[in-house]
Amino acid sequence: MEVVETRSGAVVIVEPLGRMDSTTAQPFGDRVVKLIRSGSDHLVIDLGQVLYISSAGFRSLLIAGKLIDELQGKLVLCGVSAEVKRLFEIGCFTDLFDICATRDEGVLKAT
Amino acid sequence: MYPANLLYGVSDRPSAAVCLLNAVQHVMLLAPTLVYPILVMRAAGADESAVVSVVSLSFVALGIGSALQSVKHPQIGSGYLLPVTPTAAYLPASLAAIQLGGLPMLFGMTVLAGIFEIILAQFIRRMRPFFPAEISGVCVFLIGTLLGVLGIRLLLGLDMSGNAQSAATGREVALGIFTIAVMIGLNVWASGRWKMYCAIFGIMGGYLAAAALGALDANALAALKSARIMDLPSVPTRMPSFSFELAIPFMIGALACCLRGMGDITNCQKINDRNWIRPDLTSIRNGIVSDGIGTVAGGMFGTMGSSTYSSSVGMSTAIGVTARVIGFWVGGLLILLSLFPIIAALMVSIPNSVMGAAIIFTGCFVMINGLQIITYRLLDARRTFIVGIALTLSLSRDIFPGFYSGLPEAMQPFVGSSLIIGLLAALVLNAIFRIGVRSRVKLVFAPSFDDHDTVRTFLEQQGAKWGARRDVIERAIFGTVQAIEAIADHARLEGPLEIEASFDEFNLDIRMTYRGDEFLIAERRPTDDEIRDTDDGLRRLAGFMIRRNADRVRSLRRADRSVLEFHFQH
Repeated sequence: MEVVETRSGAVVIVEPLGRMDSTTAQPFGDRVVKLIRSGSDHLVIDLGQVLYISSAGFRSLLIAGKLIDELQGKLVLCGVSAEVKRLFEIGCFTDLFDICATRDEGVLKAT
Repeated sequence: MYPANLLYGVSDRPSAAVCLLNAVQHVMLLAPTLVYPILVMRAAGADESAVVSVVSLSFVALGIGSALQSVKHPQIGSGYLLPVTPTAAYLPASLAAIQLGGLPMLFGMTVLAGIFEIILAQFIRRMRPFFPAEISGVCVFLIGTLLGVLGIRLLLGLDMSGNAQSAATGREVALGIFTIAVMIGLNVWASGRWKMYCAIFGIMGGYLAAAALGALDANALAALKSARIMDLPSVPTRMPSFSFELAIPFMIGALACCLRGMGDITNCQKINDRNWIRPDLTSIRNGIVSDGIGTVAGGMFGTMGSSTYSSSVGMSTAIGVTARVIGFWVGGLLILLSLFPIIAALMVSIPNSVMGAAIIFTGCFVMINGLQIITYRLLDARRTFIVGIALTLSLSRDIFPGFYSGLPEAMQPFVGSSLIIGLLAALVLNAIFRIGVRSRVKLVFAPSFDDHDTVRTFLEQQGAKWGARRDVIERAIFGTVQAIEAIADHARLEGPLEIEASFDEFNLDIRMTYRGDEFLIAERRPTDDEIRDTDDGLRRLAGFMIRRNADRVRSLRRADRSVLEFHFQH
């Protein structure tokens, strides 16, 4: 799975492209953890190009979320499609993350 | 639950003023369809006063039919606001009846057509496989285009062959454009009462403008001036007659009305229920029975057969008022109007271009509703061809009328209108394409990195063949892929995995069979810490999501295999 990184001021925007499943979630999670540990603790994960997310994908988000909380940073999700939003609801994850509609809103919230 | 755009839903009881004004709007909207009995009566050589008399009698029959449609009874009535009108479906057969045996033949065969439609209604459930949702959608869409084309004909003063029989003048076309501009303008930019009564305002505006410009038809004005203000309509006393030769044309007409009714009632169900999933066949059956009774009433009262009026559904959608109680007001108003011949004469005098504009306006909403019904289900190559060929043939009927009218006499009942030819094509193709569609399919594969694509392709292709709902197939794809992932990671899978999918209109079932540990489905969501820190937490999260995604999940052992079953209500 390709991951695109950009910056908006102090906020790092990470955009995974494709599916977050047991094959791709681990490398994605490792990359995000590495980013956070290197000082990027104001993070937006743009899920606009994510077509599917399984239990493994949610685990990687939980790991990133916990690490950012420990560092008192901010993690915001954005661009969640209707189907992916349904999966968040099935897994009871909607209340665990800050979810914004657009990237701009996400960057504002993560600042 | 009503969609957000409805001001008054099907079970609401608006005030008397709202009911009356909406009833008036519906009655004014059906005025253009009076052109059919008028055409038939003029073909029989009737003078203008006889034409006005038949229009008054039509009001009685239409009033009975419209009120019956709103009835919510176990055996009769669709339960929706769905006024009925004289229908073009019976026009070719009615003209043929006039030629063969005059008005008594028309009345007798119309009664028979109504009885046939009532009988046909009893077999709707058994015919269900031959009338899937996309057939209803094609029916609704074709009706919308038929209305649009009729509206253009009236607005431009063209005959059935597209020739200018008495070409509309620039003034008349301008009146039509003015009328539709008023309707669209009020519907798009206005709110409240201005939006709700946009059709009335448009027609009134067009009529007043026509009167001011001296554009009202002279014969119609003369009939208006000579019409009595109040009088009982005279019911014909001649005995009806029958002919076997006309049985097929009238049965085709009845079938077209049955299908049109199915489309219109489906449309009513859809616009009144945000969570609409599939047609309610009981409501449809009862509505078709009412439709048949309305046609029988038409024959007995000496006028044409009737059918549900798609323009009314379109207008209800446009203004957001669908309360069934208004159907009784429409029925009562129509019966009352039959006592005022001057009203019939007034309606007959509304310029064609003004009525054409009104029909175009409502046809737009009917077309879009039809498209939405068609695309609500997955479409594979079979269904694409059914819809595409049916629509193409239907359009060709209007574009090349000369070719179709030149076909042998025996074929004429089957190609008499764009609606008939399109529907027959869709029904025949649907019956043919049912060949080779299996209700149970199997896929065997070894899990790999492209499981998602494999499963998605398999279920999407099969879903399209079945005409399954998109959202249910998406749920099945997620559940299957998540299960494969969890089984491969946690159930010590050995060898390939077998996926079996089966479908009928109400159920989609997925069964996964494999060698490995039974996959236990968690009742309780693991905690966030358990998910993050333990493999067991991750496994239980997968099971929890699988269970919540499907309507029913079962995990069991069969001999030396483990089985995981999902059930989705369709």
